[in-house]
Amino acid sequence: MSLWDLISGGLQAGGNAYLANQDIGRIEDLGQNYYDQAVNFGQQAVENTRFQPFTVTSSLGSGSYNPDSGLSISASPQLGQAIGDTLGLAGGLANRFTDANFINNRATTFGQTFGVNQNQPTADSRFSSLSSMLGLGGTRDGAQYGSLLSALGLNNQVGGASGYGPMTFNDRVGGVDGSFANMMSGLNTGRVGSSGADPMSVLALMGEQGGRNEADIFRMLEDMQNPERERARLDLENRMFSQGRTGVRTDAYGGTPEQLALEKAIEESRSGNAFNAYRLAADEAYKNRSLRANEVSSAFGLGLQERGQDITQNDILGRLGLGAINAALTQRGQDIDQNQILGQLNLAGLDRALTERGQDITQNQILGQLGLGAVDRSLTERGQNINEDLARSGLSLDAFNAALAERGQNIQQQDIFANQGLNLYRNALAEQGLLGDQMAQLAQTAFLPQQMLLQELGLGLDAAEIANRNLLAGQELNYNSMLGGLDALLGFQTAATTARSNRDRDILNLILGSQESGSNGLADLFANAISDLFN
Amino acid sequence: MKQVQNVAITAPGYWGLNTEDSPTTLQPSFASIADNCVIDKKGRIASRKGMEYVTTSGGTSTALKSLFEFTGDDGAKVFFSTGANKVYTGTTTLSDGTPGAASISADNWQFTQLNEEMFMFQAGHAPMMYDPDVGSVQLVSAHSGATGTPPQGNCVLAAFGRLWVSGVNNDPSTVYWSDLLNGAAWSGGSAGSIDVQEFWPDGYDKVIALSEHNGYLVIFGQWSILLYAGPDNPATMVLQDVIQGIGCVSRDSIQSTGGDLIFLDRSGLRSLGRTIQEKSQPIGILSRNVNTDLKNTLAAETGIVKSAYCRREAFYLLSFPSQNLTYVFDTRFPLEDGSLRATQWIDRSITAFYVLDDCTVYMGGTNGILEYSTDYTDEGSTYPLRYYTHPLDFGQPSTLKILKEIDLIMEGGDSYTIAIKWAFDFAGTYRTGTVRTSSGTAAEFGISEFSIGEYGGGAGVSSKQIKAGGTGRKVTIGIETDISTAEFAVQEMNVHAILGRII
Repeated sequence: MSLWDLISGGLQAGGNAYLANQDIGRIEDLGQNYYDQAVNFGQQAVENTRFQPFTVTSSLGSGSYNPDSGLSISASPQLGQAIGDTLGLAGGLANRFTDANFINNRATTFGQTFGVNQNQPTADSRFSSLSSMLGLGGTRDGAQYGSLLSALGLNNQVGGASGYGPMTFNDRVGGVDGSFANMMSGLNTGRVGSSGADPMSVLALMGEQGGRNEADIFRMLEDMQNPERERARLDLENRMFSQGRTGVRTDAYGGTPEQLALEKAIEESRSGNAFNAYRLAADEAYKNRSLRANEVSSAFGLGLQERGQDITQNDILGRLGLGAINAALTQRGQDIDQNQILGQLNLAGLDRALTERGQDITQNQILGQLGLGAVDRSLTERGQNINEDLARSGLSLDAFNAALAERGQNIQQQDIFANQGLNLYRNALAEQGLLGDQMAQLAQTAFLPQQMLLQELGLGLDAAEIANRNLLAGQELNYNSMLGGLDALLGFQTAATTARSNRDRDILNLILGSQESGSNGLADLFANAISDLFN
Repeated sequence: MKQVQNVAITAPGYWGLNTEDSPTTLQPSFASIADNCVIDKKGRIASRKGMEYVTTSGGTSTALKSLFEFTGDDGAKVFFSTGANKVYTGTTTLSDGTPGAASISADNWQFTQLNEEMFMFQAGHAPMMYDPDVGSVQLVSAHSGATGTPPQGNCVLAAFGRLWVSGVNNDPSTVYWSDLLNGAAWSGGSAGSIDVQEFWPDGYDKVIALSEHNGYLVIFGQWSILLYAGPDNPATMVLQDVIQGIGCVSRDSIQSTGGDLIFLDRSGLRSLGRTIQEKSQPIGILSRNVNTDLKNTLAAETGIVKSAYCRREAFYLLSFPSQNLTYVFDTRFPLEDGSLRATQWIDRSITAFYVLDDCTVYMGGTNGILEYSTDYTDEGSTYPLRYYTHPLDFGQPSTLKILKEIDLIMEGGDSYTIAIKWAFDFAGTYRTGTVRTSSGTAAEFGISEFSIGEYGGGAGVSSKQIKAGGTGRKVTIGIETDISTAEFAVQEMNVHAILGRII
């Protein structure tokens, strides 16, 4: 073997070795790149699967959800006002209806004002069917009065700070319905007797109490019994003194048992007098009012006789300050009915609506009075049931629905609607009446939609479960990606190692081969390497 | 020849002292002096028993002012005494049992027991009590059953199932009562009070003591007495009787003799039973025969008058400690006028009494508890006995008497030297003759010592005579001796005299 051969063989072998090293490096780089990309892909998968807060906006409100605070729904100003009014009404009514003292006080006031027998004021002033008082028709019972009041636009008055509560309303209505009606019927009977009194002064008497109050009668009863009591006290004191017991003080009786018995008897007597005072005052007031009613009739008869006038129902109304009703009656030639009363009660809108449409009051009017004009119009135009309108056009959760649908989830608008607790409201409005306690219940349950939504999503009540699930999916992708990257990296590293091993073996064989043959094995290898290099 | 006149005085002085009536008209059975004497069971003037200390330890300078023995339901007894502003327990050894929370500035405590609890009250002091379940004296307010504020009264009575307390400073007319069967409960239950200020017949008085008699609550004022009926229900009890002009001047002078209450009034010693019957008639005074002396003694007394009633000895003791004097009233048989036979114990300051269940009489002394002892010595020493008659005229007041002989029949005494003294016509100059009694102790039948060495004791009856002399219309005879070991009684005295001319 020539030197050239040796050199060329060596060069060839070196070139081959160099090339082998280059290939091995590429293989390793490829594996590393593959791994890096797999890692990035996995991280991207995690990011992509992370739960993103979303917001849904409609014409009546908007809702947003994030894993920290859950689902928040904001109603539009109109809907919010309507719901607020309704809930306020419900709460106010619930409170009023459950306030026994309020009812009793109102009942007492009513009884005192209109001279109803004291044994009956509660029954007379108790809320019965408003429809029976106002003649609005329908079959509403007293329990539905709350929703009906709200339909009459009394929300703010009932729930507000004006103090113009439902019982006040009732008083007024009751007054008109009761005493006023009685007076009207009495006046309609014409002139009855003649007392010669001034009708105005007699009328003024109508505003006074019907008789002495309970305290006066109680004092009178006490005055009648006090002498006997004092005699009993004196007798006991004398007896106690004669027995040497006036100085007795006991923890059990305070003084002596006899003193306790006497004082107890006196207090029982006072209690009886108090009760009797109430009863007697009521009886006296009732009698006095009956007498004054006759005097009023007589006075009117006399007064009108003197004036040469005939008395009409409208005159009386005018005297009572109900001029508007009187005028309305005169203009319309109508008899007074519930509409005029409603008008006087600031229910002009409803009054006009009724007049113009010639309709009976319906749920639409109620909605209109509640400020739900859009719904009202929608109902009017579409003639559709309020349920669907409110559900579809009212909340317009299409975007939310679409977002859910895009995610492959099957949730319907109405389900959302139901889960937001609006079905109660919807149904209540549809049925034209909500009980106060139902409204209160609505107020308590209406702000729990996220729980219902999550339930509908099958995720239970844990709001974080959604995010957890997404995170789990991302982590799974990340894991798989990283696993793939690692596999690739391992494969390429294995290949590189194999190549490196082959290269080393070839070099070793090259060396060992030249020694064994005694030839110029190394030179041949070098020559081959040089040859390969230049080839 | 003049005839010798004999005057026999059987059981001389057995009517006790009489310092009230004119000596010239008194019966020979009355004594003008009967010091350290008692009326014994045979109706004779006899020596009192001795006074020996029971306390041997812890009693020095205790100056006991109140004594009381508590008896539990199980029969266990605890003896309490107070003195030197402390509360002691025990008899032989006095132990200081004063509660740490107590602030004591006086020793005028009154004890009582209710429902197996001992209570002690004194004006201006927080009441204390002893509950065997607690085992020590404590403030009533500290007891587990205490309710309300116990009144700081000066007198207490356990009767009708509750405690009754009165004599509160600045509230002297209110009587408080505790809840039923709970002397520590002063609020709630049936506890209460009554102000009797309106019912004092003289307009004003204050409660000195409380007692119970025949189902009545007896409220002793200084000048009057109120009796309430039905106190078993205090809320309904009524004033049954009002006694005007008679009251109680000493809380501790009240003793129940079973059928009666004896108490010290400013007019003398009184019996409630007779007072109720006779109202304030003087005839009801038990101390009638020594009344002036008693009242003077009372007026001069600066200590706390104490008393005791012993059924076995059948006497009522009334001590005036600042004057070293104790009146002894025999309760066996009153005299015809209803008064009690009285004698005196002199030269002893007895500051407290308590009679045990076995009728042993304990007394408060300077250094502990004394016992009324059959040793017939006072703290190991002799004590004098003196008996003097009133001037005797032998039924002939205007006739001169020439005294010839005096015979004495005595019982007991153990070789006692008896000084027999006589004087004439109210003069204070006595002639003296002496006799000596037999040796040995007297038989003590019926005193549970039969067959124990004292049955038929050697010192029985001694009959001694002395020759007397001198003349006078009235003769006063006295006997004096020192009591040292045994009882001594004067059984009979005979005076022989020759009646002379009429003066």
